[in-house]
Amino acid sequence: MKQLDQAFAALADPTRRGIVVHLARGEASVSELVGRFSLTQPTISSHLKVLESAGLISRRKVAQLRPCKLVPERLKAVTDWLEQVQEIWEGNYKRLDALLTELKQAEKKERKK
Amino acid sequence: MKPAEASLPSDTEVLVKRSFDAPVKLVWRAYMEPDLMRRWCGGHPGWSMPVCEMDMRVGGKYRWRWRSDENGQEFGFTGEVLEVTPHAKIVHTQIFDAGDLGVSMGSEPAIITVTFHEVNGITNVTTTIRYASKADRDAAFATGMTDGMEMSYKLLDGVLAEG
Repeated sequence: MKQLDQAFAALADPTRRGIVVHLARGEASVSELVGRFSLTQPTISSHLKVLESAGLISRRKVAQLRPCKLVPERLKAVTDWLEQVQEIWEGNYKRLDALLTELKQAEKKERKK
Repeated sequence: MKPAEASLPSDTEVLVKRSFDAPVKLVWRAYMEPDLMRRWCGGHPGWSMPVCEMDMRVGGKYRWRWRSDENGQEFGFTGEVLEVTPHAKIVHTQIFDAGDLGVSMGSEPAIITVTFHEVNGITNVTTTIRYASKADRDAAFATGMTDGMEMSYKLLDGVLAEG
């Protein structure tokens, strides 16, 4: 669960979300990401560190390069969880919408009597 | 009406906002009367709400319990009413009763504040859940019952912005 919390915190940042979306299209090196996001290499690296410790990306060692890759299972765990939470909230509120419509109609009828 | 909007105003709080196309006196009834409450707080597909007892006066107690249709497992919330301002505000404590689900959601009661504000026949409802500690909030977070919606919207925004 701790890693799931970390994943939420990691995804709360717009740059890191951008990196995740970018990596959804395929592996990328740090220098590619630096070019893509117009940020300094240390900034990109620190974002990658957060994503990596949250288990959202993995990095291979290839000579001096460490290409980054999305870990789709982790991202799916987050989106599945969010969908479930959203369903509960909106489910309740939609039923409340329906109930309120009914109460309004009942009130109208009452007034006509 | 726009879907519910949640935010995390502090380390220990979750705020949820939603508007309803009805005057405040009707929304208020839906929060105060057990028979009405059961209609919308219960009714989650796959779950029944066998217990919905509420004494919504200051010092009064309430008890909500849900049961899974599939395996009969139960969980619920209990608490005490701290403040009632008709058509405007309810404050109550909330303790998660894990029943036989075997999950924990913190030991100290959370404080729930619900406010109601009607503008031109539309009632804006805000719900603030204040956990006793950050650890309790994280526990609730983990069970998937309360917050996280802000994150989902942020995620979605991010994806949409990418086009």
